[in-house]
Amino acid sequence: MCLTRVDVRQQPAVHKEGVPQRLRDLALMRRVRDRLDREYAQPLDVVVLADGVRMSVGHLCREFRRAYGASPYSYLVKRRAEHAIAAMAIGAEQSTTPIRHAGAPADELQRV
Amino acid sequence: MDITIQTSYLPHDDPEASLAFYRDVLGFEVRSDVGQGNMRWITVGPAGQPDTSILLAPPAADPGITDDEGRTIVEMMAKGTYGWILLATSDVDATFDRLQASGAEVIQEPTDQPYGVRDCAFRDPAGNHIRINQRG
Repeated sequence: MCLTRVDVRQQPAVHKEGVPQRLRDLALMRRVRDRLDREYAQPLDVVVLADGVRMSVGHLCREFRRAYGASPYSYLVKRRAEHAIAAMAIGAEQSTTPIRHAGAPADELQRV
Repeated sequence: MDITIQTSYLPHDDPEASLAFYRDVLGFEVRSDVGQGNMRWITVGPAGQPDTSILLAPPAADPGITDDEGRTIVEMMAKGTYGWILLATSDVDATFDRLQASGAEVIQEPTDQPYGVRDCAFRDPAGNHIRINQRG
């Protein structure tokens, strides 16, 4: 995933003093989810996602599932489907991009 | 009927951080500020619009909210699924640049949505979703 103008590593720190670890982890997952929403049409790269919040891929996937009830990949597929349906509903030309990515390329599945 | 929308509510988890965001980054006026510690009720709003305010308040201060419910609310705030507000500005791109330069947490860069709106989005320090539309 490449970012044009938003570098998540430069986003403000969530490690506020006195905030329980659970809430700090949730705030990091919020960053990850916002990034997935922002870049939903790009191929998923969980290594880059994990790197963005300085976590291992395994830890990221566990925490994300705990927070949102789905793996980053499942969440992204749902989001893409929503975008595709919404785009079709209004007859937008852009509908082809989310639809194309709603099908899971094999290399994405292997990385999740 | 003559009803206006006077005050909307967003939760904070750190009153000073939220105050800095709404006052110093968005440029809102502070109209009232009561309470102390984390139990602060702060009313803010855009200059020139004294009849429209946002109340920044602690999230689970209502005594009818159970401890479990309070924990859920605080967790939802942290994971970014609780508070939400829609603002509008005459130049969404300039507003985005200014907010991003301030170090605010970006959700979405200025984007032409398929439904005909250009908008961008940020998180406030409490995790609330602040979406900003280009005013038509």
